[in-house]
Amino acid sequence: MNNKSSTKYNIILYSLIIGLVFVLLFSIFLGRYSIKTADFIAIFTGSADNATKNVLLNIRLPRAFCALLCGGALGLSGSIFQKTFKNPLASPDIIGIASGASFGAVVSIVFVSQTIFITQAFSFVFGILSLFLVLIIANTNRENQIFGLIVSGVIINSIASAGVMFLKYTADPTSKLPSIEYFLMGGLYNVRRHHVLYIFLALLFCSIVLYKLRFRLTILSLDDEEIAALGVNSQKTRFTLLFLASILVSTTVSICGVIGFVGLVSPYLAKLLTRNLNRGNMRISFLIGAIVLSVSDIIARTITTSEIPVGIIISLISAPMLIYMLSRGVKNV
Amino acid sequence: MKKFIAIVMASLIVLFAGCSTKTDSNATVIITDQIGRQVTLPQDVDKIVSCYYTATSTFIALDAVDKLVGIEIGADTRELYKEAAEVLLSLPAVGSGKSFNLEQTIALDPDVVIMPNRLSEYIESLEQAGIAVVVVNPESLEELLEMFELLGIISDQEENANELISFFNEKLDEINNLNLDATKKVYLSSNSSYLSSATTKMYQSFLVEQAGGIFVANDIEDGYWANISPEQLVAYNPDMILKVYGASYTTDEILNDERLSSINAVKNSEIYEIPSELEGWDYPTPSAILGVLWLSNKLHSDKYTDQMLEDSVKTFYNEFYGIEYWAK
Repeated sequence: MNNKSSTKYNIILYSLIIGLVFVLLFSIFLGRYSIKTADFIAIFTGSADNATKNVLLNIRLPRAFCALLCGGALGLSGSIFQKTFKNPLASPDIIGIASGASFGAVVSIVFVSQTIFITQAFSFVFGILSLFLVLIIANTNRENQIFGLIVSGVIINSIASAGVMFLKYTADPTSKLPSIEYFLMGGLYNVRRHHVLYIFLALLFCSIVLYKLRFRLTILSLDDEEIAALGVNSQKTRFTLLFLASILVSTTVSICGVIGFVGLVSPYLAKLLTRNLNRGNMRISFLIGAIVLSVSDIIARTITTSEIPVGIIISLISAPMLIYMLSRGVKNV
Repeated sequence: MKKFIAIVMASLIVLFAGCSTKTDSNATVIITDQIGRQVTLPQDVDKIVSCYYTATSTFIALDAVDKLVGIEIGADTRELYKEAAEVLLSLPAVGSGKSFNLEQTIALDPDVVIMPNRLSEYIESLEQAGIAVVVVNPESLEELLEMFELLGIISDQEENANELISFFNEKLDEINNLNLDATKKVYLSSNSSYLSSATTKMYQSFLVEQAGGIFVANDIEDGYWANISPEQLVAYNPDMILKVYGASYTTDEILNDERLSSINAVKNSEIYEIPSELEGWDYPTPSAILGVLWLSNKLHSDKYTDQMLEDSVKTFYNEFYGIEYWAK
């Protein structure tokens, strides 16, 4: 790696970090409950009234950090999926983990309990379970590892989606169905303070493992035969990576429901930004995901009295970005 | 009031001079339903299918149960049917908001099918089978009273319909004459989440205002239930939170949600479920009037007393449903 590309990489990295800090500040200062600058100062001096303190500490800060960390987790997991499958279309939405996790939530709502905590636990466990199913099915095809994983991912995705549809069809339309729809829509309205800790721990764990695996990650972009020649077990590495991505996706779904597109768009944008730089793009993808979800959530919760489903806004802002990057990328080839 | 319902023609039509002996069976009435369709009905309607519980509940109140030959799905979950018209539970169930069994309905050979607007895609098929369809759409108090009148005409129980309408008007006058000051802010949440609010487009917003409360979500005009952020709920700062029957969350969950701790209703534990043991008092059915009375009592118990509420509820169920009932 030459110095020039390293400088360019650092410029991209630090501009994104600065951008993210600004977005975070915006998301702390903006909201439906009006908090004036004087109130912010009052909070530090301890003289703020209870309602203001409550909005800031229990609602706005947890939500701002959750949007940042969940968006980042989705971006990172998308990057892991694309690396593992060597395919820019591989994303948590397509490889069954997200649908598995939402199926878990729906199972909990219909059969067990609609309590938020239990629904989240089910969602997380089912997300991880669907990964194991993907791996088991993928193992039946030993000829082409990546192909096997993608197809089994698509299979699990369709089974889980069918399960969700079936439960929705049979669910009591007055008491259960609205809760299901509410959960599936995705959004950060349910965020509490402890959720920040959950997603932070998930990210911390994954970052440590990814750091330990960093040399194998570079090797993974080679052909399977070449990897084998280097004495690296590509299957084991891929399974570990998928496990990490699934932890991130399942945690995110359990906190804020299914939020599509971030996991697909972020790594793709990261790739376009860092093309020819020969550097890993996981950090860039994390930052882009964090910015996209934070900005979308600010818009979702502030512009109208009622909340706009965040998925709509994500698509509205990231699709044009993607189109722009794509057109630029094609010219520069 | 009679904007939607106009009896355009109620005269006898004799199709053939030679058939004068059969005049009665050929007599027809033309009515306008609640989406503005002109519907031709036989003068004597004997067999009615109702696939909307609001209409079915009204038929019980109008004492026209014997004309029903089929009703909506899920009748076994309606306590009111069990108490006031058990015979309904044995009738064939033909449809609900979710689905509709066309063949079963045609097999019942009804004179008329009463359905909600959301089933209107089936109108054409039913009409092709020679069955008249009347759509009811009670989304406001006016439309609710119109529906009573319409169903009274169809089931030939116009007198009973007028009694029901008078009961509504009397009780509304009684509340209006109390000159209740709207000082308390009321938030009404759906059964899926307490962060899902009723909108001004819904009957429920009328209910709150009629009962002398301030409907907090008065700036949400679109849609039926709108999701709001917890921050918005804190900004509304309601004095009372009402949850509808069958809510998937408990009052304790709202009380223990630390995000909402600064809201007046939470601080003072003013969180109530709208009574719905027999049927939901917040829905546009005959018992909707009890929802208004109940909330007036909750908001202004000094002016509309517990005793006044109890008397009205007992009179209502006794007079229109023939049962003894008093919700605590």
